[in-house]
Amino acid sequence: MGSVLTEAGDLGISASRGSQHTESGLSAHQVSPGHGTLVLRARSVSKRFAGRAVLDELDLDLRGGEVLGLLGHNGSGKSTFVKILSGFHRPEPGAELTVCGATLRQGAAAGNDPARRPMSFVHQDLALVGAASVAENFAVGRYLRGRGGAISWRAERRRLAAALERFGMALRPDQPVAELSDTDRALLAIARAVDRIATTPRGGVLVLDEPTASLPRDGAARVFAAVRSLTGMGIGVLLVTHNIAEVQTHTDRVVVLRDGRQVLASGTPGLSRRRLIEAMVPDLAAGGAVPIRTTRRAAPRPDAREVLLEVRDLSGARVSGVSFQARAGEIVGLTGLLGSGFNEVPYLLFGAAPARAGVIRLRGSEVELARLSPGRAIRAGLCLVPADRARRAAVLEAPTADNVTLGNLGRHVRTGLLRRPDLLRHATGMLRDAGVQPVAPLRELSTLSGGNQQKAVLAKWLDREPTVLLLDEPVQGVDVASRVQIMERLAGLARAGAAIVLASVETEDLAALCDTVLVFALGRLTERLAGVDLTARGILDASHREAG
Amino acid sequence: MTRRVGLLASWLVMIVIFGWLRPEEFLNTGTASAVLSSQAPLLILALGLLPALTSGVLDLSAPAALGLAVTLVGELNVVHHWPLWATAVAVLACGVLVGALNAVFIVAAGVDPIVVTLGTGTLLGGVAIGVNIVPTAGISPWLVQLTRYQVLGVQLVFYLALALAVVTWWFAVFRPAGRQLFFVGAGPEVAALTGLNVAAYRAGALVYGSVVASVAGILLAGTLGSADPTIGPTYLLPVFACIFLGATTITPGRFNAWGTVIATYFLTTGVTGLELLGLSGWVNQVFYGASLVLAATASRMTARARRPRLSPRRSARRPRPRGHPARPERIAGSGTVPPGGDLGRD
Repeated sequence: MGSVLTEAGDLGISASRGSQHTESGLSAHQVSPGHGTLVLRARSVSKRFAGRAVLDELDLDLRGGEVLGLLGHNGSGKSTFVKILSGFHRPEPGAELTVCGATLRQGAAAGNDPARRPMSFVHQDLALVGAASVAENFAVGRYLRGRGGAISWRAERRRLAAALERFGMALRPDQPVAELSDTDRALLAIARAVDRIATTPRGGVLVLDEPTASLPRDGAARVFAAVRSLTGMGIGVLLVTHNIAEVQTHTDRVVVLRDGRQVLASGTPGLSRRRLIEAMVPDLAAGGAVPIRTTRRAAPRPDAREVLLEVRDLSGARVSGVSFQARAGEIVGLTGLLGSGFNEVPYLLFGAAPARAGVIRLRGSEVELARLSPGRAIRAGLCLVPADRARRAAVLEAPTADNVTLGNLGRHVRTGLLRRPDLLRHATGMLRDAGVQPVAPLRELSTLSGGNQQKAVLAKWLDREPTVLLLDEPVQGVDVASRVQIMERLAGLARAGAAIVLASVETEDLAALCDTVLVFALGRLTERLAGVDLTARGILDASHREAG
Repeated sequence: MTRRVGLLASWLVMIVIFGWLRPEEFLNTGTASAVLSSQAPLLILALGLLPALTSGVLDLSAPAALGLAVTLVGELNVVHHWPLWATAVAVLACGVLVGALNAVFIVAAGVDPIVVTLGTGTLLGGVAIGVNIVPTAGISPWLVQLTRYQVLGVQLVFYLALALAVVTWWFAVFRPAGRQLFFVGAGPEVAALTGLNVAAYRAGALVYGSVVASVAGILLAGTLGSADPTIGPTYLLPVFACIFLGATTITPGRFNAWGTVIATYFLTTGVTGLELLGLSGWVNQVFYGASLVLAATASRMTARARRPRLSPRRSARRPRPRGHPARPERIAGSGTVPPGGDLGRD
């Protein structure tokens, strides 16, 4: 959301200056103007949401010609900082932000005139329109005008050609962006962003927010080669990422954030992966205790139990050759870096995304993959709690009772009629068991807090008493208390004999809750962690081992 | 509560105003009977469209299906001397066919329903004129007498429309399928991931709408006693004005049967009253057109007003009135499910 706003803002304002643009793309006077000078200076930048500091007194310097990695795990505050830079969030009073020597005005009214804000953003979604051509996407909002104010497409094409050449890309200007590879799309977005800042003589700042998360390895390498070439122009690059290998290979310096605080700032050369992981993940032994582990330990060893789910060589759009099994009472975690494909697996197993190949066995009997659909999966005893609550898990504007009973309306029908009092009574019981506050079945689900919404969604599925429960990021955007409640409910379900498959990037939750964690990299299952290896650090370490 | 009965109150106020301005012409049983009876086929058509709209599919072709049904009644029953029962069977079969045709393009092929039904609606209008370009009089007297049979001074079609309203309300509130249909429209992905067959619900709703439109066509032919092949398109605007205005009342923000009943008679009363004031001819279109826009606006405002204060993160999203006929989104994955992960395929 933020990305689109910024991108549009950037482009909109610069249109008025379009006619003054040089048409050679990156002409000689722009090379190395800001080399070594401070292009971005941040002091005491904080941000609080509902009293909680998500970003706490961040100080950061970026010089022209350098690549600075901003590294952090989920919720570390790195996205919040990007959103402050882009003007989407306003920082707490006392913050100081200067870009190329000029104070950054805050708030939505700050204006995005490149002269005052010589800063450009490439967000993970790239903000490209698939149906529009390469040239249209490149030019959007900053059109070069010819006679009579009409867009000069000839000038646009010259400018595009120069920009593409710089990045070694051979794209036809008329090609629809939807036909491009992911790598070419990322490069086009970067080329466009650079085109927007190259016009200022004082250098500029390019912010790359997880630009390579969904790229194959060679694609990422091309993107970083392009990024490196920019530094020669005096542009400072802020690379926001959670990928340690990227930071190690492609940055000059790194700032590590954890829980909104800067925990490490250092030159990258010589910095070990271990050191970075230790900075990103707190030492659990030193106090970050999660209470779930003890309850899990009480469960009997699952090895002797029945195998409820067996997956062999499962392939989908992003993962291939995935094999694992889950026994009764076992919690299997799936994790990896963003874009590694691990979170596709629950949807493949549920028939919500088409599987290309593989064998799925439930309680020993094979599921016909070609005919697998959510309806069949549910009848076979599978349930899925999807990640996107507002779109896929619940209709927020419907009453809570209707949401939680949707999957099982048949049980409230007597003589052809839906017994509303019966349904409400049952829903009330479900909400109470799930610890949803308030227990108000007739209230719209949207009036509940995120944590309570999620507990209600989980209750909907637990009501069906699944044999195998699949979850994708079940505690995303959930407060700490609800998080513990949800995890304890999952542990309870496992104790009762169900198998759970839990896809998540929350390493600490996985370490606390799971019996086995499967780590994915580049679409493949690369490592299995269990027993003493199963720690938050171990998971993070394994995630980064293969991804580099 | 004000919002729930606001339209009903406005209707009563309107009756009082017209009654005061034109006591003789307006306040008599003849006018009341004419208002209630003449618009019953419109009400039936509107009620038939509710399931499709609830499931998130806007069917613009139903008025043309009604027009085709009227024409076929004239052609088969009068010109070709088919018995009434055979005519009815053929007309209803035609309704099933039209709904199935729409379903193939909208549900199976995933084309935008507005585009598809605008096309099929125009197509059906052409077919109706092709079948018989001139109005046919002499519809089976049995049908005419049946539909015009008066109970308490009002024609039977009105009671049929009321019965359909009861059934529609009952289905939406007391049948699991009715509850699930709402989720199919309000959260297609939620419905699909709950194991509901989104495509089947939408296809079923489309076929149902066309069949009901055909029934309305048969009844209309009966009340008019003749078959005019150009009558279908004149129902397009009124029917959606009734439905959207109906969504502002009783259960505001949702398409609902009793709201549609009230809205239909609110609009008819308005038009009749204005005509009695001497504003005939142009007033029909102006009144219906204005009502449609105002109804849609009011519907949106009610949905927004009912929405509680949003959390900061959610406020950035554009609020959508619930149950509004969004185009059935391609339920392909975003984020977690890769493109091509089409949940709607089952």
